[in-house]
Amino acid sequence: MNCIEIENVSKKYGKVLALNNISFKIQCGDKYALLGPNGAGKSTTLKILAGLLKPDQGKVSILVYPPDSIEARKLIGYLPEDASPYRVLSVRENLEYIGALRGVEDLHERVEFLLDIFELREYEKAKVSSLSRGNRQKLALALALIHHPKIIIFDEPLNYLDIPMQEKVINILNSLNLTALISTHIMSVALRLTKRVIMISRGRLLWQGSIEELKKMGEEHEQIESIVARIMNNDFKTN
Amino acid sequence: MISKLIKFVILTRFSKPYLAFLGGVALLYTIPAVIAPHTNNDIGFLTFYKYYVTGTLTFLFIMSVLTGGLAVTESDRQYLFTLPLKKRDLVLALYVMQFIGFGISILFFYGWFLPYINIPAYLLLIDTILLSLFLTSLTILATFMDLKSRVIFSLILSLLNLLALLNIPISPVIAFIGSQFYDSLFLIFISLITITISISKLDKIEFELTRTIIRASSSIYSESKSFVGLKPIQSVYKLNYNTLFFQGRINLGGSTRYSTARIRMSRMIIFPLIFSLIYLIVAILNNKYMLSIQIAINIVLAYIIFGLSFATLSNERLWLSITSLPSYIYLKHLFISKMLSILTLISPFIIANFILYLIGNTSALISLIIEIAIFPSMSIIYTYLYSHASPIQVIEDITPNIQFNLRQLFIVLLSYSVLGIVIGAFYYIPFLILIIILINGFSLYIVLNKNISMNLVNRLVERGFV
Repeated sequence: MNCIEIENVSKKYGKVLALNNISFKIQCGDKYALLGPNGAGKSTTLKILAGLLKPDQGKVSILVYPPDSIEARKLIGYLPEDASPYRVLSVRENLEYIGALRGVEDLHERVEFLLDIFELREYEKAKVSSLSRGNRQKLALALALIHHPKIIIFDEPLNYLDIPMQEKVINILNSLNLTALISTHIMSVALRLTKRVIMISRGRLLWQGSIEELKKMGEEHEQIESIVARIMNNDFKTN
Repeated sequence: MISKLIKFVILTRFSKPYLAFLGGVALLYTIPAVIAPHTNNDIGFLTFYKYYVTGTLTFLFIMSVLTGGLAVTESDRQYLFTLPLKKRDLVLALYVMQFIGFGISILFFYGWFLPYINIPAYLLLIDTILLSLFLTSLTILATFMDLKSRVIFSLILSLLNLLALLNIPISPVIAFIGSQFYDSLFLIFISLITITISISKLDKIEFELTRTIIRASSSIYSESKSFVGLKPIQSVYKLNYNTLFFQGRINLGGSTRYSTARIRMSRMIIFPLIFSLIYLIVAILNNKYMLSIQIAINIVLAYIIFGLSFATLSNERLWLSITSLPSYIYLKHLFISKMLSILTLISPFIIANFILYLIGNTSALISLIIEIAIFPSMSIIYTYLYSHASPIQVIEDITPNIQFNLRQLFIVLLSYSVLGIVIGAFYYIPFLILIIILINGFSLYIVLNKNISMNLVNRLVERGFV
């Protein structure tokens, strides 16, 4: 069963074509890295899946629901790049407010759990505006996971985190039985968090498959980054 | 070098067409005052102007002190400040830019009146420049104060302003009311003091405003809000009705930094309570020109609502709210909660007008109707219109790299509609009824229409809101 399905989706910002008739499917339980050069349309794809942007054409489904439906919202945990929580609220207030908006039943326990697991306990009363970028990212991750999502759509989730916290977040995400689409520029992050890859460039799907298949496309001892770069560069040369 | 730096700083804040447009408007306002000055004997108009200028200047003073500081952008911090430039030159360039910003604000608030207020052109020019320098200096001095001192200082300035209503000359506002040189003496005196002190402190200003703000105010909220046990919609109201969010910018033409703050309704309502009480006393003591006073007060209130409406979107986080609730449900309740909070905020004036009506002032009834039936709904329309301009989401405690352009100016100019709406509503009852129907109808349409909410979110996200 497909948890994420994008079919012939196009999106323009003014005259700029961000997504060009792109299609892909992700089966429930699969974890995909979304790779692509700058301006490939990765963030736009994620925003459309999160129900924040409307495609100009094409069909998008989360399980069988449109992304802006209540059902899809319950399923999805979305984290944008450079996520900024409500800066006029404290850490705890952010968690409680969004938990209440999402109707989380075990909200008190959930907030306590997330404060501990993301090491935010000492900042729980702190204004978000006073937090370091790393602590803000930890809070953003906690907010994206507060409602026990079944599908996560994350844009550069490890940005700004120190190495111990990066390891912790990788372990947390890997321990959850989720469907994931994670946009990243860093192959090591993709390798640690996902098993499969969707590669896009200039708003079109370039390649989709497993990381093992991707590795097989390279020469012996060729670094995976090099293989990815070659595929992307070939796309630029042939178009 | 310094002239190049000043030019660079100005052009990174204001586009050339924007400056050219405002320059043209300034000439349009001032040339008639210089070429064909005429005496205005319309007491009604002059009384209206007196209250209008007192109210708007008080608002400008309060905002300048509360949100004080030089407008330093992200690019300034990352690039300009790393260049081998003298700090004094940098601060001076920012000071000049801020002076121009306040000049624009003053032009925006008073430009229309300049030819009609019986003040000689040369004096008006001196007063306007001094006022702009005074406001710039206030923002510099405010940088060195903690929040408590800022509140006390702004209250003292407000009281000084209000003395102008009693024709007491120890008020900076009297310069814009009286027509003689001695009326400007207090403004000259207070400006010289603040300019001297602020310039002497220029070297001590910290550019790292974020850190300054954090140090100046506590990084911990003393009172925490809890949302545990609340239903989704209850949470929206608990946050957005009980709390007023502020952002420093737009109406001040780039002269304040970007910053957000939250103030509890129960604290914020002290300000309208004090001002409505003064209004009530003045009205009871001398109600000869009540209509003019009421028009002025309502225009000032409408400007404040205009400013508050902008903050609604600037503090929003769509990646959290709209992915939690459908956009039409969230925005509907967000807008209604803000509308109710504005209604509560102006309720002291509603009560004051009700009392005045009971003691026989008929125009107080119109004032009351405007405040109940027009202003709250107007906040929804302003928020919606703002989403069509170049809305700014406040992410950091600094001014984003934004250049003021004509598109934004167009939305700010929309607030001029307030003048027409309020004056028209006071003089023509059919117009009042028509405006009530139109504004409430349009705001209801915005709130209830699913497509409008979805398109609004789409437009905001396309423009970079997250």
